[in-house]
Amino acid sequence: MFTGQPFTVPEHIEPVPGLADRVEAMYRAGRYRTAMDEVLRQLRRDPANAEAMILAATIVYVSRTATLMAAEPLTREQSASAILAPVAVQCSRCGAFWYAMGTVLPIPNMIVANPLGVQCPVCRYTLCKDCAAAASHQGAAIPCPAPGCSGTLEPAHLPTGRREVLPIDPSEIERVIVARDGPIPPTISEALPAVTTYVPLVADDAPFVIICRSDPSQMSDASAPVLARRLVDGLEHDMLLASGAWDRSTPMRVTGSEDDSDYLVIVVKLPERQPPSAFLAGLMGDHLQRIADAKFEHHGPCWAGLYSADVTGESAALLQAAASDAHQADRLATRTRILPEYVVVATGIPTLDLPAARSQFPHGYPAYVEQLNGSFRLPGYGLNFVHWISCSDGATTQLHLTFLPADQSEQALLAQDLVEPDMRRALGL
Amino acid sequence: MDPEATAAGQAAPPAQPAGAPAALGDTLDGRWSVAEILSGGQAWVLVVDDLKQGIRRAIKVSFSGPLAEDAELVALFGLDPYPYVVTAFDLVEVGGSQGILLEYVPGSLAEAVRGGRPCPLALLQEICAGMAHLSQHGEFAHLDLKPSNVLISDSGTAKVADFGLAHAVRIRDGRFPAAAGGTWAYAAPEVIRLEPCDSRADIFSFGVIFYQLSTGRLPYPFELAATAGAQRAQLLDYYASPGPERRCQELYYSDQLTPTQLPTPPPSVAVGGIISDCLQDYPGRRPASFSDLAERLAAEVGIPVVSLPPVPLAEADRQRRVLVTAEALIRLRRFDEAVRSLNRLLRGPVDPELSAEARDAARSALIGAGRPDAAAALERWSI
Repeated sequence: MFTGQPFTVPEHIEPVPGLADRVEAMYRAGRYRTAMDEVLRQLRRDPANAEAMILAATIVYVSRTATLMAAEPLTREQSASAILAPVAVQCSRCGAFWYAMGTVLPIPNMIVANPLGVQCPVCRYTLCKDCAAAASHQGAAIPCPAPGCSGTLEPAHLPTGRREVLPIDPSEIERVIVARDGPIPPTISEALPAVTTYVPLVADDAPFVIICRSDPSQMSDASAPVLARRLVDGLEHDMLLASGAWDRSTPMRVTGSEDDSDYLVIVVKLPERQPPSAFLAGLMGDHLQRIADAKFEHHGPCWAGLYSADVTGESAALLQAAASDAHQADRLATRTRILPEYVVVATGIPTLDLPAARSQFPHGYPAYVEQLNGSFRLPGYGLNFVHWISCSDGATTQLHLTFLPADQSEQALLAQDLVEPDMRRALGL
Repeated sequence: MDPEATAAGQAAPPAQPAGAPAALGDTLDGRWSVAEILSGGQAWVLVVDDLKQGIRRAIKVSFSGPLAEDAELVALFGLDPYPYVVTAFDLVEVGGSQGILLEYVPGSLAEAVRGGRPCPLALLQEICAGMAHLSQHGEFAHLDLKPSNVLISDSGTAKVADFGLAHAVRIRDGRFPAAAGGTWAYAAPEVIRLEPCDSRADIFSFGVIFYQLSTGRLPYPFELAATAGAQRAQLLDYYASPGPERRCQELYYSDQLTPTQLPTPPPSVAVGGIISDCLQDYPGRRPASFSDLAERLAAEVGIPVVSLPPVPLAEADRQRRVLVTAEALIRLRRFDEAVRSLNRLLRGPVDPELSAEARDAARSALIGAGRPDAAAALERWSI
């Protein structure tokens, strides 16, 4: 679980096999960007990994000149990654942050030459160089401004974390919605830094991000919450977010880079998980067995993964929840989850009647699949798309499956029963 | 030897303005009467009088063509007008080419250096203020800081000029951009080696200027060669030798060491200490920024820091500059930057005279960026 709390070096460090060797080799070759990507991926999976955090702090601390000359300099997005917040030192007054070597080298009585800020050794209240200059009278020592603290500010070298970073476990995120102030929505490469600076995700997590349009001048204190609500409700209406999304949303206003405008980032948590239904898991197993018996010509690793316990287990849990939502709301309900190699979508439809089920997709089922795929930036990112649909009248349940493998040489499967007959003919199905 | 010989040629007025983009007495854009024609290292400079308002301005037309102009325009218009940086106003068509309409500043530090006239040391702080202003929206490297690019106004104020080689210190294509040339006598070693460089290369150039203003000489233990190419070869050899390190020691311990790497010692230990730091081979040993340097000049040499706020622009003028910059970015094929810039412009009320042009530019930028869907969506929004 990513907490964003200041890092302390543990007494025992469990090494990740080969990680330090690989990163060190890249570091020595000036390949800071690739080295940091590898470390950030590791920390994304395992935020508490002390070895990876120490490696990250070492890379991010590389000097300005070495960065300038490097074959692969660190990017600003990497340096500002929320994942590195536990080793950051942040000014308590203006919010500027930097990295100090003391975060990973806690040497007693360390002398810091030309420090970037000052810090109270008692409570870690920190001031950056500029704020310290404003607070100091002719270079005199600054008493700690924190209420009730009797410390004196000294050169800063201990991490404070970053207060604006969202402490959230990435595996609990359903989607991240991004809008930019102005009439032109951002590209994913523009939107990602606005996300990864504040949310512990990495560039590989682009499929989580849904970019939305924002009308101009919607980012004021008064209008941003209204915009956030409108975007979340709209995506829920379009069946891209599970029901009750607003209650699980955390909107954040984010200042864009110097040549960009401001962003609205909304993190939507997954709804509460439900235990997988043994009944549905059994039905899914039967369904998959029938597909296996049909001996499709082009089954490969993507299909094989679909039968794995991780994917079927998560699919059954999502399907149970979607079916339950659909039953309660008496209309179609969808739940989604991004797993390491699979985007799993589960839809519940409260009827067994196929024409009625098809009518739940206002623009037709293929258009819905296309919309879902577009929202996950598929095909791409090596992700397979799995869509389980449960049609149920409460007594009887019928399953349908659409599977679009990441490897397009493998056979795709579309839930044809959900496609209108004339459209099936038009598509040559 | 010409210390201002550059990779692109030598800075000197031409004997006659052959090949100049306009003739004396021509009227450009129906408004600007050409009063004088000068040739610099990389551009023509037309001194023009505004027939409408009687103001004197300068128009710079690059030898390298419109793209060079665009790059410089983007740099200049990215800055808010500031008393210590020459101000750019607009683009002007000059005989089928385009030129940048600039504030006219009659003198330069080069004239003072050539004439051996003493300069007020306050100018050093004005240069620092101007150079610090360049990085107001992210780090920016000028990369051709030299006396002839420090203009001196009638009131004696220094203004940093000529952004023809400047670049934003930002990763492009995976690396930081390398220097594209420079005036070798004032250039940092990394610039001479055409390596990636940042604003600390300008700190080095400042050190050279500071030494030259203090002593009347350049800080080399030899005469520089006559041509730019030979100068570069000469300085590459020098920076591969132990000489530069020794030079810094001699500057720092000027009261103890006899100069072998300098034509003459600095005027004081304090001045020598600052110049020594500026002229360090390794950028990480130089002052980190012009703001830091300004503070040191104040604390160690007693030259007070100068600080003035940027000159506020009328909203219509600001929007016009954004639009002109975005159009230049489109011509430079920097479409993503143009899109961001125009998105910022269009997010609020736009001057009615600019509105249609701004939307057209945004659509062009989006199409150039390979985003036809966003261009079409913008079309709908515009309606």
